[in-house]
Amino acid sequence: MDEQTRPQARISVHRGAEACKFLAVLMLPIAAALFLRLAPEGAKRFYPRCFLNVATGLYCPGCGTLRALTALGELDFRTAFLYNPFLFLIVGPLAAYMCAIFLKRAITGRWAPSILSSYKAALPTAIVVIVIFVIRNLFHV
Amino acid sequence: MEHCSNCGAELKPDANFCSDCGAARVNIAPAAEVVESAGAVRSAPVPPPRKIENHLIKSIIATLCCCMPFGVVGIVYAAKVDALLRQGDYAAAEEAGQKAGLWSNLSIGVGLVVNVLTAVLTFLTFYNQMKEGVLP
Repeated sequence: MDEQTRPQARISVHRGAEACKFLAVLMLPIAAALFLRLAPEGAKRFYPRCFLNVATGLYCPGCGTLRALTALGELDFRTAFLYNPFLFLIVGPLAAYMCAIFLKRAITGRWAPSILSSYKAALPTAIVVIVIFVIRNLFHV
Repeated sequence: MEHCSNCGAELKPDANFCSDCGAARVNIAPAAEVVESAGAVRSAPVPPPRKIENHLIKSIIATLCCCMPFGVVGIVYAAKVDALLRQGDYAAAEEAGQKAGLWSNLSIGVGLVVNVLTAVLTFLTFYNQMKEGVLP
Protein backbone atom coordinates (compact mmCIF):
# COMPACT_ATOMS: atom_id res chain seq x y z
CA MET A 1 0.00 0.00 0.00
CA ASP A 2 1.06 3.55 -0.63
CA GLU A 3 2.80 4.85 2.48
CA GLN A 4 1.01 8.19 2.27
CA THR A 5 -2.48 6.69 2.29
CA ARG A 6 -1.68 4.31 5.13
CA PRO A 7 -2.49 5.92 8.47
CA GLN A 8 0.12 5.69 11.16
CA ALA A 9 -0.60 3.27 13.97
CA ARG A 10 -2.35 5.19 16.71
CA ILE A 11 -1.66 2.91 19.63
CA SER A 12 1.06 4.36 21.82
CA VAL A 13 3.55 2.08 23.51
CA HIS A 14 5.75 2.31 26.60
CA ARG A 15 9.03 3.62 25.22
CA GLY A 16 11.11 2.23 28.08
CA ALA A 17 9.67 -1.27 27.64
CA GLU A 18 10.38 -1.24 23.90
CA ALA A 19 13.91 0.07 24.54
CA CYS A 20 14.44 -2.80 27.03
CA LYS A 21 13.26 -5.34 24.43
CA PHE A 22 15.63 -3.79 21.88
CA LEU A 23 18.57 -4.00 24.29
CA ALA A 24 17.63 -7.57 25.32
CA VAL A 25 17.53 -8.91 21.76
CA LEU A 26 20.75 -7.05 20.89
CA MET A 27 22.76 -7.74 24.04
CA LEU A 28 21.71 -11.26 25.11
CA PRO A 29 23.67 -13.15 22.41
CA ILE A 30 26.69 -10.87 22.94
CA ALA A 31 26.51 -11.27 26.74
CA ALA A 32 26.14 -15.05 26.40
CA ALA A 33 29.14 -15.27 24.04
CA LEU A 34 31.22 -13.11 26.41
CA PHE A 35 30.17 -15.16 29.45
CA LEU A 36 31.13 -18.41 27.69
CA ARG A 37 34.43 -16.82 26.63
CA LEU A 38 35.25 -15.87 30.21
CA ALA A 39 34.20 -19.27 31.63
CA PRO A 40 37.12 -21.49 32.67
CA GLU A 41 38.54 -23.79 29.98
CA GLY A 42 37.26 -26.97 31.66
CA ALA A 43 33.66 -25.73 31.63
CA LYS A 44 33.13 -27.14 28.13
CA ARG A 45 33.12 -30.62 29.64
CA PHE A 46 29.91 -29.82 31.48
CA TYR A 47 27.96 -28.48 28.52
CA PRO A 48 24.69 -30.41 28.43
CA ARG A 49 23.94 -32.38 25.28
CA CYS A 50 20.59 -31.92 23.58
CA PHE A 51 18.18 -34.29 25.30
CA LEU A 52 16.42 -35.12 22.03
CA ASN A 53 19.80 -35.94 20.49
CA VAL A 54 20.77 -38.19 23.42
CA ALA A 55 17.39 -39.95 23.41
CA THR A 56 16.82 -40.39 19.68
CA GLY A 57 20.03 -39.42 17.85
CA LEU A 58 18.07 -36.72 15.98
CA TYR A 59 19.26 -33.12 15.66
CA CYS A 60 16.64 -30.55 16.73
CA PRO A 61 16.50 -27.05 15.13
CA GLY A 62 18.28 -25.59 18.19
CA CYS A 63 21.07 -28.20 18.42
CA GLY A 64 24.50 -26.58 18.52
CA THR A 65 23.36 -23.14 19.76
CA LEU A 66 25.43 -23.25 22.98
CA ARG A 67 28.58 -24.42 21.22
CA ALA A 68 28.02 -21.94 18.37
CA LEU A 69 27.82 -19.12 20.95
CA THR A 70 31.03 -20.42 22.58
CA ALA A 71 32.77 -20.36 19.18
CA LEU A 72 31.43 -16.84 18.61
CA GLY A 73 32.97 -15.79 21.95
CA GLU A 74 36.29 -17.09 20.63
CA LEU A 75 35.64 -15.16 17.38
CA ASP A 76 35.78 -18.46 15.48
CA PHE A 77 32.97 -17.64 13.05
CA ARG A 78 33.51 -20.66 10.78
CA THR A 79 33.10 -23.16 13.63
CA ALA A 80 30.14 -21.18 14.99
CA PHE A 81 28.43 -21.33 11.57
CA LEU A 82 29.06 -25.05 11.21
CA TYR A 83 27.54 -25.83 14.63
CA ASN A 84 24.17 -24.41 13.57
CA PRO A 85 24.00 -22.69 10.14
CA PHE A 86 20.29 -21.85 10.55
CA LEU A 87 21.11 -19.69 13.56
CA PHE A 88 23.06 -17.37 11.23
CA LEU A 89 20.91 -17.72 8.11
CA ILE A 90 17.47 -17.28 9.72
CA VAL A 91 17.49 -16.46 13.45
CA GLY A 92 20.23 -13.79 13.24
CA PRO A 93 18.57 -11.73 10.47
CA LEU A 94 15.18 -12.16 12.22
CA ALA A 95 16.66 -10.91 15.51
CA ALA A 96 18.19 -7.91 13.68
CA TYR A 97 14.79 -7.17 12.11
CA MET A 98 13.04 -7.37 15.51
CA CYS A 99 15.74 -5.07 16.95
CA ALA A 100 14.92 -2.50 14.25
CA ILE A 101 11.17 -2.77 15.02
CA PHE A 102 11.70 -2.39 18.80
CA LEU A 103 14.00 0.60 18.18
CA LYS A 104 11.40 2.20 15.89
CA ARG A 105 8.69 1.75 18.58
CA ALA A 106 11.02 3.12 21.28
CA ILE A 107 11.88 6.21 19.21
CA THR A 108 8.39 7.04 17.88
CA GLY A 109 6.47 5.92 21.00
CA ARG A 110 3.93 4.26 18.68
CA TRP A 111 3.16 0.63 18.02
CA ALA A 112 4.65 -0.63 14.76
CA PRO A 113 3.66 -4.01 13.31
CA SER A 114 6.29 -6.70 12.77
CA ILE A 115 5.97 -9.81 10.62
CA LEU A 116 5.89 -11.91 13.80
CA SER A 117 2.93 -9.97 15.23
CA SER A 118 0.79 -11.15 12.31
CA TYR A 119 -1.20 -14.37 12.56
CA LYS A 120 -0.10 -15.06 8.97
CA ALA A 121 3.49 -15.58 10.17
CA ALA A 122 2.74 -18.78 12.09
CA LEU A 123 2.19 -21.16 9.14
CA PRO A 124 5.40 -20.16 7.24
CA THR A 125 7.30 -20.40 10.56
CA ALA A 126 5.95 -23.91 11.19
CA ILE A 127 6.93 -24.96 7.65
CA VAL A 128 10.43 -23.45 7.97
CA VAL A 129 11.05 -25.13 11.36
CA ILE A 130 9.90 -28.55 10.10
CA VAL A 131 11.97 -28.18 6.89
CA ILE A 132 15.05 -27.28 9.02
CA PHE A 133 14.35 -30.33 11.22
CA VAL A 134 14.28 -32.59 8.15
CA ILE A 135 17.31 -30.98 6.40
CA ARG A 136 19.46 -31.21 9.55
CA ASN A 137 18.79 -34.92 9.92
CA LEU A 138 18.98 -35.82 6.23
CA PHE A 139 22.21 -33.97 5.47
CA HIS A 140 23.74 -33.81 8.99
CA VAL A 141 24.17 -30.01 9.05
CA MET B 1 -11.13 1.25 2.57
CA GLU B 2 -11.02 0.93 6.35
CA HIS B 3 -7.82 0.58 8.33
CA CYS B 4 -7.05 -1.25 11.54
CA SER B 5 -7.22 1.08 14.54
CA ASN B 6 -4.35 -0.88 16.14
CA CYS B 7 -1.68 -1.21 13.45
CA GLY B 8 -3.00 0.78 10.50
CA ALA B 9 -3.09 -2.17 8.08
CA GLU B 10 -5.80 -2.29 5.42
CA LEU B 11 -8.90 -4.23 6.51
CA LYS B 12 -10.81 -6.53 4.20
CA PRO B 13 -14.47 -5.46 3.86
CA ASP B 14 -15.86 -8.61 5.51
CA ALA B 15 -13.12 -9.08 8.13
CA ASN B 16 -14.03 -8.90 11.82
CA PHE B 17 -10.40 -8.72 12.86
CA CYS B 18 -7.14 -7.39 11.44
CA SER B 19 -5.29 -10.05 9.45
CA ASP B 20 -2.00 -8.32 10.35
CA CYS B 21 -2.15 -7.87 14.11
CA GLY B 22 -5.33 -9.72 15.10
CA ALA B 23 -7.03 -6.74 16.75
CA ALA B 24 -10.83 -6.82 16.63
CA ARG B 25 -12.48 -4.40 14.20
CA VAL B 26 -14.00 -1.55 16.13
CA ASN B 27 -16.85 -0.73 13.75
CA ILE B 28 -17.94 -4.07 12.38
CA ALA B 29 -20.40 -2.79 9.84
CA PRO B 30 -21.77 0.63 8.97
CA ALA B 31 -25.18 1.19 10.53
CA ALA B 32 -26.81 1.45 7.11
CA GLU B 33 -25.83 -2.11 6.29
CA VAL B 34 -27.10 -3.48 9.56
CA VAL B 35 -30.56 -1.99 9.27
CA GLU B 36 -32.13 -3.60 6.24
CA SER B 37 -35.22 -2.48 4.33
CA ALA B 38 -38.60 -3.02 6.01
CA GLY B 39 -36.88 -2.13 9.29
CA ALA B 40 -35.63 -5.66 10.00
CA VAL B 41 -32.37 -5.55 11.93
CA ARG B 42 -29.79 -8.09 10.79
CA SER B 43 -27.47 -9.26 13.51
CA ALA B 44 -23.94 -8.04 12.85
CA PRO B 45 -21.12 -10.64 12.85
CA VAL B 46 -19.62 -11.05 16.28
CA PRO B 47 -15.95 -10.08 16.54
CA PRO B 48 -13.54 -12.14 18.68
CA PRO B 49 -14.19 -11.10 22.30
CA ARG B 50 -10.55 -10.13 22.77
CA LYS B 51 -7.23 -10.41 20.98
CA ILE B 52 -6.38 -14.08 20.62
CA GLU B 53 -2.75 -14.78 21.50
CA ASN B 54 -1.02 -17.39 19.35
CA HIS B 55 2.23 -17.54 21.42
CA LEU B 56 4.32 -17.72 18.23
CA ILE B 57 7.42 -15.95 19.56
CA LYS B 58 7.43 -18.03 22.76
CA SER B 59 7.12 -21.22 20.68
CA ILE B 60 10.05 -20.17 18.47
CA ILE B 61 12.24 -19.43 21.51
CA ALA B 62 11.19 -22.75 23.10
CA THR B 63 12.08 -24.64 19.91
CA LEU B 64 15.49 -22.98 19.66
CA CYS B 65 16.59 -23.02 23.28
CA CYS B 66 15.05 -26.03 24.97
CA CYS B 67 16.04 -28.98 22.80
CA MET B 68 12.49 -30.25 23.01
CA PRO B 69 10.24 -31.17 20.11
CA PHE B 70 7.23 -29.70 21.98
CA GLY B 71 8.07 -26.19 20.76
CA VAL B 72 7.40 -27.35 17.19
CA VAL B 73 3.94 -28.55 18.28
CA GLY B 74 3.39 -25.04 19.73
CA ILE B 75 4.28 -23.44 16.38
CA VAL B 76 1.90 -25.80 14.53
CA TYR B 77 -0.93 -24.84 16.91
CA ALA B 78 -0.05 -21.15 16.39
CA ALA B 79 -0.51 -21.75 12.64
CA LYS B 80 -3.94 -23.29 13.34
CA VAL B 81 -5.03 -20.05 15.07
CA ASP B 82 -4.74 -18.18 11.76
CA ALA B 83 -6.70 -20.81 9.80
CA LEU B 84 -9.47 -20.97 12.42
CA LEU B 85 -9.78 -17.17 12.61
CA ARG B 86 -10.23 -17.07 8.84
CA GLN B 87 -13.09 -19.55 9.23
CA GLY B 88 -14.57 -17.31 11.95
CA ASP B 89 -14.33 -20.07 14.57
CA TYR B 90 -13.10 -17.89 17.42
CA ALA B 91 -13.65 -20.44 20.19
CA ALA B 92 -11.53 -23.05 18.38
CA ALA B 93 -8.93 -20.37 17.53
CA GLU B 94 -8.67 -19.39 21.19
CA GLU B 95 -8.34 -23.05 22.16
CA ALA B 96 -5.57 -23.56 19.57
CA GLY B 97 -3.81 -20.44 20.92
CA GLN B 98 -4.00 -21.80 24.46
CA LYS B 99 -2.62 -25.16 23.29
CA ALA B 100 0.26 -23.33 21.54
CA GLY B 101 1.04 -21.59 24.85
CA LEU B 102 0.72 -24.85 26.77
CA TRP B 103 3.12 -26.77 24.49
CA SER B 104 5.70 -23.97 24.48
CA ASN B 105 5.46 -23.70 28.29
CA LEU B 106 5.86 -27.47 28.52
CA SER B 107 8.91 -27.25 26.24
CA ILE B 108 10.46 -24.49 28.36
CA GLY B 109 9.67 -26.25 31.65
CA VAL B 110 10.81 -29.73 30.67
CA GLY B 111 13.79 -28.27 28.76
CA LEU B 112 14.96 -26.33 31.82
CA VAL B 113 14.64 -29.30 34.19
CA VAL B 114 16.23 -31.81 31.81
CA ASN B 115 19.12 -29.54 30.77
CA VAL B 116 19.95 -28.50 34.34
CA LEU B 117 19.77 -32.14 35.49
CA THR B 118 22.00 -33.24 32.59
CA ALA B 119 24.55 -30.54 33.43
CA VAL B 120 24.55 -31.48 37.14
CA LEU B 121 24.88 -35.22 36.37
CA THR B 122 27.73 -34.57 33.93
CA PHE B 123 29.46 -32.40 36.53
CA LEU B 124 29.04 -35.06 39.24
CA THR B 125 30.38 -37.80 36.95
CA PHE B 126 33.51 -35.76 36.12
CA TYR B 127 33.92 -34.76 39.77
CA ASN B 128 33.84 -38.39 40.92
CA GLN B 129 36.26 -39.46 38.18
CA MET B 130 38.64 -36.64 39.19
CA LYS B 131 38.41 -37.66 42.86
CA GLU B 132 39.20 -41.27 41.97
CA GLY B 133 42.13 -40.13 39.90
CA VAL B 134 40.74 -41.44 36.60
CA LEU B 135 40.99 -37.97 35.10
CA PRO B 136 44.00 -35.67 35.49
